[in-house]
Amino acid sequence: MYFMGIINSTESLIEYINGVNFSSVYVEENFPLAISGTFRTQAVNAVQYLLASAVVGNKAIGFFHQIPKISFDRPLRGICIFVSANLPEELETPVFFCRKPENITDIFPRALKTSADTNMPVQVIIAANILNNYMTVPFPTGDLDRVLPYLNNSTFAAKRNIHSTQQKLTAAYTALRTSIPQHEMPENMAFELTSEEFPLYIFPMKIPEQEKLFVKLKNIHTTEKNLYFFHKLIHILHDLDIDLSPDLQNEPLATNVYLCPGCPFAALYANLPLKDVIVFTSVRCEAVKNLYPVEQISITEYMGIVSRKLSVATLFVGNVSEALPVKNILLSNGTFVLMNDCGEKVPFPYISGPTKLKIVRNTVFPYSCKNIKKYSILRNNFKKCVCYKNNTSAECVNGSHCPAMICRENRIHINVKLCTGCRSCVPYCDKKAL
Amino acid sequence: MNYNILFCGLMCKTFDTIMRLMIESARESDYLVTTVTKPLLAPYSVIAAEMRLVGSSKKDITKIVIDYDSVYTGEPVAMHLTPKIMDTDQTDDQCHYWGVIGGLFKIISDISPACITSYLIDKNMNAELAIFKQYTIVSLPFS
Ligand code: SF4
Ligand code: SF4
Repeated sequence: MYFMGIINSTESLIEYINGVNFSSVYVEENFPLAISGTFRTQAVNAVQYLLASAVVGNKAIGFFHQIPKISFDRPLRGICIFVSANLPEELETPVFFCRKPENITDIFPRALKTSADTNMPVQVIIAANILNNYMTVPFPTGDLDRVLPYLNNSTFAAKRNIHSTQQKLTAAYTALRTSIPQHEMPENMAFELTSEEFPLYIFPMKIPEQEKLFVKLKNIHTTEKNLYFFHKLIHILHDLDIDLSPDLQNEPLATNVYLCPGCPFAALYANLPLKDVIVFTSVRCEAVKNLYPVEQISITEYMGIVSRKLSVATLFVGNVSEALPVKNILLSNGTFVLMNDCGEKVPFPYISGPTKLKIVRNTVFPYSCKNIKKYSILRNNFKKCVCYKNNTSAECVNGSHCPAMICRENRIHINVKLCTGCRSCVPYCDKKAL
Repeated sequence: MNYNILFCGLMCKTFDTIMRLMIESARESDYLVTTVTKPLLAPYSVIAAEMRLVGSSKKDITKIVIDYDSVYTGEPVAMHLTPKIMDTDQTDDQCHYWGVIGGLFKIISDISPACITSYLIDKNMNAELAIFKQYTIVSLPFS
C-alpha cells in the first residue's frame, strides 16, 4: 500500500477506521468504500442502530449516500459519526467538512472528540475528492482504546438536557477554534464541497464566534440539491441577511458511464419493454441513476405508492433481503423484480438467468450487485462485426454500457476476464455479430 | 511549464500503479504535484483523476487528456491521447495503458521516464516495457 511513499487515501481511511475500533459500523449498500458493515438494513433504521449503540457507550460510525434525519433525545455515552458525500438536509448536529485527503488527519479525530465532548452525534461530509486520491502522509492510527458498553435501568430513561447541550456545544466550538482556526467568508460564495472558503465545521446553534465568520457574506450560490442545508444554516444565522441562489449546475461528467459487467439493470433494460413503465429502485447506484430514468426510493415507499391501483405501470427493483420483512404483504398492485442477494425465499417465481426476463412481472432475478453470477462467455462473430470498420458507433457498447467490450483491430473484442455472459449486449447488435 | 492532466480509464489496478509512478516521476523533476479525483459511479465505472503539475510561475496551463480506454466525452482538448491516436489496440491485460502513458513523456519532455522503466524492469513486465519504450519515441500528431 505504501508503494513509492504514495498512499491511497481510501485505503488509509479504512485503516484509520479499523484502528479506532468502532463496535458498530454501517455502510449503506453501494457506498464506494470497500469495508463491510456489521449490520445490513435500510439507512433510516441504521441511524437508530448507531445511535442506540452509542447511547450505551460504544463507538459507532455509518456511511450513507444521504444521511437521513437524525432524531435523538438521549445523551450519548459513546461516539456516533455519520459520514456522507452529500450535504445533510438537517442541521441538528455539528457538521465537519473534509475537502481534501490531508484534511482527514485533522477532521476525523476532531469529529470523534466533538461527539464525545458534546454527547451528540456528529456528521462528517467528505468531498468526492478525498476518496481514491493520493497523498504522502499516512493518517494517524487512531485511538486504540476499547470502551466497554454500559447499560442499567436508567440508561434509556435519561433525556438530553438542552441547556447543558448548548453549553457543551459552545465549549467544544471554542476549543476547536484554537486548534483549527476558521476564516471569515467573502461577500459572495459559490459553494462546492472542495471550496477553501467554506468553514471546516459548522455547529447547529447560535454561537457568536461562529456568526462572526459569516458577517460579510451576502449571497450563497449553490445547486438545488443543497438548498435544504443552506436554509437550515441561514436559520441558525438568522440575525444576518444572507441570500440563497440555487443557480449552480452540477459539473457535467467528462467521461462515458459504464455499469458493472452483468449488471442487473443492463439486463432489465435490454430484455424488458420498460418504455412506458415508471421504474423505482432502492439500489443506490450513481451509474444507474445517470443512465436510466429511475427514481431511488425504498421498498416501503413503493408499497405506499401502489397501495391503490394506478393507471400507469410501475416496477420496483430491489433486493430480496429488503422484501423479507414485508414478504407477506407485498401488494398485488405493484410489480417487483427482486434481486437474489441472500438466498432466502419470497413468494415470486425465480428465473435462472438474465435472458429469461421477458415480460414485466413479479420475478426474482438470479443475483444482485453483490454476487453477480457468471454464465458461459459470449463470443463475437468477427466477420459480422462491422460498426467500427464503417466508422459508426457500436450500439452493443452504447446500449449495454458494459466495460467488457473493447475495440481491437476495428472490431469489438470481448474481454474474457470481465464478461459474465449476461448477454445484455446481444439485443443491441442488429448485425447479429454477438 | 504547468500542466493539467486528466487521466481516465476503466482498469483500476493499472491506473493506480501508473498514477503513483507518475506522481513520483513528476516530483523527482521538481514539479509541484496535486491530484483531484472524480467520484466513482459504480465499481466498474470510469476512474478519473486530474493531476496538476506546477513547474513555473507563469499563468499558462497546458491541458492534456490521457484516455486509456477511449472514454473521454468532455470538451475537446488538443492533446488527447487515446489508444487510437497512439495507433495501438486496447488489450485485456492493459498493456496499452503503458503505451498511452509513453506518449505523455513525449509531450512533457522534462519528466524522466526512468521511474517507470525501472519499475517495469523490476517487475519483469517485458511486454509493457517494450510498448512503453516504443511510444515514448513515437511522433504524435500534435507534438
Ligand atoms: S451491478 Fe449495476 S446497479 Fe449494481 S453497482 Fe454495478 S452498475 Fe450499479
Ligand atoms: S460483454 Fe455482453 S455478455 Fe459479457 S458481460 Fe458485457 S453485456 Fe454481458
